[in-house]
Amino acid sequence: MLGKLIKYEWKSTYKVGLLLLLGIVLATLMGFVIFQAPMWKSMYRDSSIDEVAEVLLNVASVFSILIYVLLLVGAVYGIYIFLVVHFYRSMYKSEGYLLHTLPVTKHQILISKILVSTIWVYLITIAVIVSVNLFLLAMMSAISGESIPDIIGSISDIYSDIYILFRSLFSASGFSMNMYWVMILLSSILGIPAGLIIMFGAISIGQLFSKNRVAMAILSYIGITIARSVLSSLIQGVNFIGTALSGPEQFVGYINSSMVLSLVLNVLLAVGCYIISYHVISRKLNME
Amino acid sequence: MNELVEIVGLTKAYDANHVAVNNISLTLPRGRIIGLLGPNGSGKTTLIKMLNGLLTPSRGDIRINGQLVGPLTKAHVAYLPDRTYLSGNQKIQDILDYFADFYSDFSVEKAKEMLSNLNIDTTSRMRTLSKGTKEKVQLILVMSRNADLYVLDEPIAGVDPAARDYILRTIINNYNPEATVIISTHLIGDIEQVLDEVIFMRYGQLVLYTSVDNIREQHGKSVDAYFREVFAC
Amino acid sequence: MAWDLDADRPIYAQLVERIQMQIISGYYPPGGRLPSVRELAATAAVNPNTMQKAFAELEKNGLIITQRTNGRTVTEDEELIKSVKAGLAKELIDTFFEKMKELGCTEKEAVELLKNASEAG
Repeated sequence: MLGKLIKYEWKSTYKVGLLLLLGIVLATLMGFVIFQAPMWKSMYRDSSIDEVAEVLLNVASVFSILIYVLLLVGAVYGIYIFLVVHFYRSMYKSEGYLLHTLPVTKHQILISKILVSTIWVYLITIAVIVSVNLFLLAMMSAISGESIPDIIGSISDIYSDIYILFRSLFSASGFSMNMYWVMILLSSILGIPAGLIIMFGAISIGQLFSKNRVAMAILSYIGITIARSVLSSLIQGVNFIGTALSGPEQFVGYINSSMVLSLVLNVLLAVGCYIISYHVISRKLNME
Repeated sequence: MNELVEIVGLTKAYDANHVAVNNISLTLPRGRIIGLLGPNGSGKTTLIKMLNGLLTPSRGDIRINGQLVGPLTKAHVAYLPDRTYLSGNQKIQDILDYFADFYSDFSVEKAKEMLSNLNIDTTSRMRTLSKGTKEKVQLILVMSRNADLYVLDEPIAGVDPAARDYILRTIINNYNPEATVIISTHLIGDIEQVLDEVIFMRYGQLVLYTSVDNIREQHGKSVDAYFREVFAC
Repeated sequence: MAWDLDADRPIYAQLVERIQMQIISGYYPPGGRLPSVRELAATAAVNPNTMQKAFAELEKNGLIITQRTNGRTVTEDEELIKSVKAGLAKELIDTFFEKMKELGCTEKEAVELLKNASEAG
């Protein structure tokens, strides 16, 4: 049954997801085109194009970069907004009459939605990261006049220098650097579903009221976000004081533990919000 | 287990002032077509939602086939709400696949036959259909299930007389001695002939549960007329 | 299509009357097959259980016979059908005389009016 729910959840979301991914692809292509503009080349050598045309092209380029950024930001916001609105409509509006009378458990319903939403955010996030990397590569290639494989070569050199530096820093402090990267990765991987579960939880809290459910959902989300910030600051503050900062070794430890604490806070909030959503749809469901 | 539905001490209270269903106990046998009648605010809709697991009781319980309401009972209960609950973008064929996927007792052939009887094209999307046609589609979906309990909320309100006849005929034709149909409606006169028994509710309480013929024999009037008498303001 | 039934009398009783009439009038001839409960209920637009009750009543007074494999048939006992017909006819006649009495006619006047009406029509 869970598989079936996932299948249909995918069916009802893939069109928008694909559209946003397509948008990112198009934006990236546009980015490539931007870097044909003389502005970039002129940073390293003289241009021989007509001055007016050159100015116009430069303006257009800057403008296009703005649009590129907006498109990407829009895609990220877009997927979140779409997924949250979809959750609201399929759970708590007319379609809910069908969903909640299916022979499935409430956990299965929630998990199918969280799973599919998480996959879409992962996809969009990866697409954005790839896009930005390609964009920067194209930009550096245009500016320096070097071809892309050469750029990648020089960047690798820079990265390995940074890597060596970090490594020495970490080994001095006694903390594993791999742990550090693992933490960053984990925070992103877990942070995305956690964020979604929290948003869904806010929608569910809104359903506890008899009127203005959407407004209350938004307020709840704001409330949760504020609470998280406050708690986070408190925890970090305590962590900071507790980790008697006395050198770069301790600093690395602090970064690590603060990431762990942040992640734990996020996960706990997500668990709480999951429980809230579950409770609302199993005991407090009151469809209009 | 011969009784299909057992309701014991069922109560739904939203708060101290708003008690929608007040301590109802009722046993419904199989193989009946039962009317659920009552004025607005009598608790009919609340009772229906609890039968379908859309609302949880404050007290008491409901057992269907001996089981408490949950995913297992939902597999054997077919519900027709009094509103459009299908997403507008879907094609009817997609909806048929969806139902067949989740409900093992759903018959796609039966649904397709009924749809073609009414000249409804399965490739059309829900939002392109008229209101009356949407309602017919929703009814056909429910009637194509081989459930133990059918709960129809206002199946004939706002439907033209010809469609109404079709709906009543479909309900009769679908009759199965192992299953029971509960029809909640205002339009008593139009469906009286089709009912075995009726349940009267008011102010969240059970007022009467008896057969149609009993009412006619004992009171010499139709259920419709008797209802008006009982519930006269 | 649906049968026209009174709203204030029990349905099954009216179904019994209706089917009885159909048997007596020969619509369902002696020995002939009857539709199934479900079919007739759908035609009449009534509850199958009610139709079942009507059939049971008709079986009780012998007008219908349930074959094990063949469904339901009308009895072949033409005497029985005739006697039921006679019984219903008597009821109608009794009612006629009652009503005529209400009108203020004597029995003799009533018979006279009847004869005239029959000759004219």
